[in-house]
Amino acid sequence: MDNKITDNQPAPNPNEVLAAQIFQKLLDAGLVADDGQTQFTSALAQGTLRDSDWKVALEQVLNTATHETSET
Amino acid sequence: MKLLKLELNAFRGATRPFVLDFDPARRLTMIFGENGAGKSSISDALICLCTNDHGSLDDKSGADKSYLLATGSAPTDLYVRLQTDQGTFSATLAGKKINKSHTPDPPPTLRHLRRSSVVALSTAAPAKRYEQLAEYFDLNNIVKSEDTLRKLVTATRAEVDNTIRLLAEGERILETFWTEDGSPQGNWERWVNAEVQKNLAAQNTQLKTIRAALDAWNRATIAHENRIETQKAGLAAAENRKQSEAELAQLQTETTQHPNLLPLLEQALHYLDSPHPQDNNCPVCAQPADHATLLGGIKQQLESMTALRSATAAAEAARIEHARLQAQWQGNLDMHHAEITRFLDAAEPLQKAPAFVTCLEQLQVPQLSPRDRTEVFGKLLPELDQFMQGKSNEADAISKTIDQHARLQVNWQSVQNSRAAAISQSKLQKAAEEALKIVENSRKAYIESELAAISGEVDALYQCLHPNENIGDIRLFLKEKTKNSLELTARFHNDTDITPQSLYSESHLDTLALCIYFALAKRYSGPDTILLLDDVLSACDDAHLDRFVTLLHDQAPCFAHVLITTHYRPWRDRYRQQRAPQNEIHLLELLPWTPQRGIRHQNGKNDLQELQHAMADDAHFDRQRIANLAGTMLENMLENLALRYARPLPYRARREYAMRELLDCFSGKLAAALRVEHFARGASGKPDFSAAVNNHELKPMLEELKKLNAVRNQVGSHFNFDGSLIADTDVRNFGEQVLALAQCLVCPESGGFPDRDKSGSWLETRSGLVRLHPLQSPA
Repeated sequence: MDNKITDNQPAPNPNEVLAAQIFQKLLDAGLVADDGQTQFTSALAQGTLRDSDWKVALEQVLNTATHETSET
Repeated sequence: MKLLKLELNAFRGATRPFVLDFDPARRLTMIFGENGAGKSSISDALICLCTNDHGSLDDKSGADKSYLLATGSAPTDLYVRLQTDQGTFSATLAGKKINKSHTPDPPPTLRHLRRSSVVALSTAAPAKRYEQLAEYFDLNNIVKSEDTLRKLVTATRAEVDNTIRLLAEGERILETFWTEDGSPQGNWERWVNAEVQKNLAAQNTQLKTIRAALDAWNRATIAHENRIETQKAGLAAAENRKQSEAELAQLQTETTQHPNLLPLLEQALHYLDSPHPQDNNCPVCAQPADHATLLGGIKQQLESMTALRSATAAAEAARIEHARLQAQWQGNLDMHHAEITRFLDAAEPLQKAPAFVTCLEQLQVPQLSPRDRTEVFGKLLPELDQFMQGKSNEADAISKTIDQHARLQVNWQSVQNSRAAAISQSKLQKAAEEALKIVENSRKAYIESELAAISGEVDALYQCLHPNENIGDIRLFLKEKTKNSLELTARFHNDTDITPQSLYSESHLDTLALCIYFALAKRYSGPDTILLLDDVLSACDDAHLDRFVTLLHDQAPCFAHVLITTHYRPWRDRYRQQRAPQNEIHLLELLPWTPQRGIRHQNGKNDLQELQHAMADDAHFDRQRIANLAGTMLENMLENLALRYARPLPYRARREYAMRELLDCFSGKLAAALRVEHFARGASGKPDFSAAVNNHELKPMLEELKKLNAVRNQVGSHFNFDGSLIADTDVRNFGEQVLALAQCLVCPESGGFPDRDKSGSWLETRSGLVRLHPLQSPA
């Protein structure tokens, strides 16, 4: 049973921890691009991500995939 | 973070300024007070300062939040200030709103637990239980972002549905065209695709040619009709002129007068009737003549020639009209001829039937004069009109083909666009749905993993409180297929996965809830987290109380500070009597509250300190108090040793033993073996166990105390005359012997007795610096 504070860092915010986990899963699933990670994760953790922001993020990958397909 | 000072004024029970100076060397503070002494006011002040709650007022349905202000105080008087080594955090009242000023911001995290929460959690339904604990998971922001993603999923679904509807409508229209066209080429899509590929330039050219010819034809026929009409009018005017002139000639034949007389008289009348200087001479012969007479004579003559005058005017009018119509007819003839020429030119590129060609050839004979050509046109008009009607029908058919082609193209393009939109929108919908699933599952998995981690911690804490009781295996988990519902299961002897409410006792449920909150507060704590336990413990047996105190001290380092308020005296006395590590806690005792004095407190002393102070008071040697304090202290130490070594004592339900019984219960072997070692900390701060700094045999002390046993009863406890015979020296000696024993047994660092078996060879205090030998009573 751990009963000591091991460092002097603030306790991690659950929203931030979960936002980072969610972003990684979205990235692994190829649903979002890795650029703009900090901004996206921060907005996700702060609850300021609007539906239009989600759309832009998802379409960025979809459009890139379409563009690559059409080039090949 | 270290708490330095809490100040409150005009806040609830603090009718006067209240200042609580924390001991920065101690992480735990206990505020002990009877009911109504002001414990909740202090707790509520911290809760209002560090959270958005109102403390105990939130628990009371219908409680008026305006009672944050102390009775009889002005809102401007209210303040709450918490001074720490990181900064000062304060709150004031503006109207009914609490204004907070934090430097730095945010304030320390406060995890507070009240008795009401303990009771509520142990009996709450799963949904209510989730609600109570949800603040610890604090995923509201993620939930907000999840909601906007859900909104996008809903919007894209609606968009896809709409596009599919438009696509279906476009395809239905194209299929209808295909059906109307006789369903060629097997299916409508193949047909439409072929149709829209067609080049209709030739049809457009042909339509343009035919429409030009039809236009020229219309103009020529209109010119023909105009010519015919003016020709008819001209013939009628000629006949009218002929008749008028005949009637005039007849009148002229019948009259005796000269034909030129009438115009002459009309001119003379015009001359004489016009305004010019009156001349009394005749304008012809220049002989004297009366003007009026002359004028009257002319008028009389003209009146006699009225019929002639009318016939002359009619003949002139008929002549003029005839001449006008003759001129108009000539113009129309020229126009008609020109239009015929234009028509012939426009008809040249047309595809023509032989009969049509023959007609045109008749019109194109070069020798024909304009008038003859128009006459030929008039003759050929019915036949030509029939040909041109055929061309008009041909133009309509071509036009229909072109229009349908245009409609096919528009609808086909619309279908193509809808198909492309449906594909991209479906991709977005699928991606959004997939993302939503990831977010939802991640959130649930996060909570599940947190709950699993917390469950382990709760169980570990619970086992500390209830060792060897065959209960535990606490498990917290989200109820499947139910939103925000928190299940709690446990084991009760051989029954697993039971709901604790079914089989656990009230007090076991209380400690379970306490462990859940403890685990949550611990997991989500940081270096600036304050744990506030507001009167959480009610009646509790000694063993469980000791374990709870041990647990609390073990877990305290997880928090910046642990603030305890309690009215439970046995808990406080654990520290007063060195049964708990009293040096690790700052003990404060609240004095009775009155509206005039508000909340007041004093620093709590333990028995050892009180005895030391009494002994050190040279100015006033209080023999009765010293004998009493030393006796109580000695009984406490002996009772503790008797318990540790399981010494035989007369059985009494309330564990009340005479001091003599306690002194005599240690056998010769045990008394000889009783030994205390003291160790010190090295330069690094870690205990140095290489050699004891002090080594005490307890047997001589116990033997000496047996001799002084009577001092306590005769001087400190009862009225008797024998007490008067006991000298102050003996009383002082008794006090000194008790202090010597206490200084042997009480840890100078943690302040408790050696009561832990960590080595298997001796008992030791929390700090490990004091060891008591032996571990067990010798056989």
